[in-house]
Amino acid sequence: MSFSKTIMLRNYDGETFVVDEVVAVEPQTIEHMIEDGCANTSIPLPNITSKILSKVIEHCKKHVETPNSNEKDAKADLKSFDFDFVKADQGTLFDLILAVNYLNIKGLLDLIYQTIADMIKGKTPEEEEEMRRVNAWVFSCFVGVTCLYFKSKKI
Amino acid sequence: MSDYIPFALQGEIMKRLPTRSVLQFRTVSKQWKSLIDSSQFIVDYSLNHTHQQHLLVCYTSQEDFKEKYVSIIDDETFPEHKSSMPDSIAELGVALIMGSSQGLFCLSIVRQDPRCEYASLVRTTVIWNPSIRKSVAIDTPHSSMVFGFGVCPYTSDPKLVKIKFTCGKPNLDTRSFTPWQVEVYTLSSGTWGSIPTTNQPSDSIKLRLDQVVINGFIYWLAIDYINISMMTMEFKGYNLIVSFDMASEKFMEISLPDTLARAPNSSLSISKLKEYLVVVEMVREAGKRVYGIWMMEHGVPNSFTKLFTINSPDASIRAVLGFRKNIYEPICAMRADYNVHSVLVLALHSEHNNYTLMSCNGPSHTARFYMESLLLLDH
Repeated sequence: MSFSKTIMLRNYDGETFVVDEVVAVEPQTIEHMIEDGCANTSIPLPNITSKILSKVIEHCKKHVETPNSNEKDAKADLKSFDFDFVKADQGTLFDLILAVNYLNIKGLLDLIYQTIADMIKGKTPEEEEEMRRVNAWVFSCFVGVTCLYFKSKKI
Repeated sequence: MSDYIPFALQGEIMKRLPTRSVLQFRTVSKQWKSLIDSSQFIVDYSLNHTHQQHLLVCYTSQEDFKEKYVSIIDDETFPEHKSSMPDSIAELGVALIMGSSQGLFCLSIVRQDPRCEYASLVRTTVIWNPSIRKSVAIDTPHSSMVFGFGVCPYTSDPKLVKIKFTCGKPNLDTRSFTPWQVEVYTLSSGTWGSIPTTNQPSDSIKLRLDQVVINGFIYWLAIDYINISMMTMEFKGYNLIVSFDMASEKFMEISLPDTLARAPNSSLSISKLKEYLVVVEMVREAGKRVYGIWMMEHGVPNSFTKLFTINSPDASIRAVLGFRKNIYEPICAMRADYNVHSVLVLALHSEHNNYTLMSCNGPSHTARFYMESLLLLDH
């Protein structure tokens, strides 16, 4: 059994996450911190909650573990993982954006941007109504302001 | 839990939306307007390749002999939305699409000069962005033709290439050729400038109007008039491809395989598929048509290979206009009967049926894919 180096991440709630180094360096921010020698005890991530950090680690792990081949199966597997990954509620998605932007994980960031763009693109009036009812406070964010504005203008 | 997304990240999301939404967002607040109008945003948006592909089809209506344009979204269902030419262009005259690059189209409009009593034609060149419906007319003072159009990939600056070909006839039998006079126009500078004559093709080469832009290079079909005998009208010229590097402003001659080089020039046409240059050769025999599809990888001149042929025994396929997602989905102009024209996507090598994109009341001659871009927004 090979010895793999692990990194400890300490977050906002004070919780610590132990991850393999190869997973921990997916986020460029952490990679740079390790290179700069700031990772002696644990890496502090004070602005990220446990819920979000564990989701991010889950994504990094999956992408590191899947072999980087051009095989159809591997690609399809990753694709369906990503598809399910972004099925989170809007609040989680918005928190993810801030965390992933801070951690600088390009692939995941692109995925989330595209997901939100797709959400903005195809909304029927009924779906907007539903969104407004169920997630009032989330809807008041960026997506909501614009949808409401344009709905009222009947564009 | 956060209640808002930082402004910079909002911009990143906006870069992935269709132009229609972006134009709407522009009117929401001054902050968003200045973000969207910034040159960095415009360039980033236009370089984003995840936008939906559109297809612009151009045909000549048999009713009023005017050019009609239809923009079709390249989606599984091909929803159509009529893209009309801005009135300022439409009333100028007959507009022909000369080239397209990064969501912009270059039109050449010829009309009667209203100031002249006798028949005199005036040519205007217009750069048009159908996604944001903006157009810019370019001053082309001389009568020499604008042959090339492309958007320089590094500067995102539209460029026009104007060439004057001259040939003299010292005696009845031969022609003499003089070097090309080339001028290049950039939208940012707003002026025409000549380029050194060193890196030009042979004087005897003349360009055709067919052109495609791949990766910052403009490609034309061309014909070399060397050895043409005026007395016997025996034509010993041959066909070739000429390319122009928009960054270095240098031309290059690319030879075609023998069969294509010796074919009648009018039987050839070019189009592109992603990074590949495609040459279509039409052979007419006894009432039927056969189209040969050849492909060249950009930057690899001796990679020309013939891929396959498309048979049209009843000659109902009148032209191969372009290719959809792969080379086995050609877009063809069809003529089922006299006055029954349509544009079709053939499904070769696939279990799907041929798909009719649209019917038109005239022959279609151009079908070009484009991706939405915001270029010209700040003009």
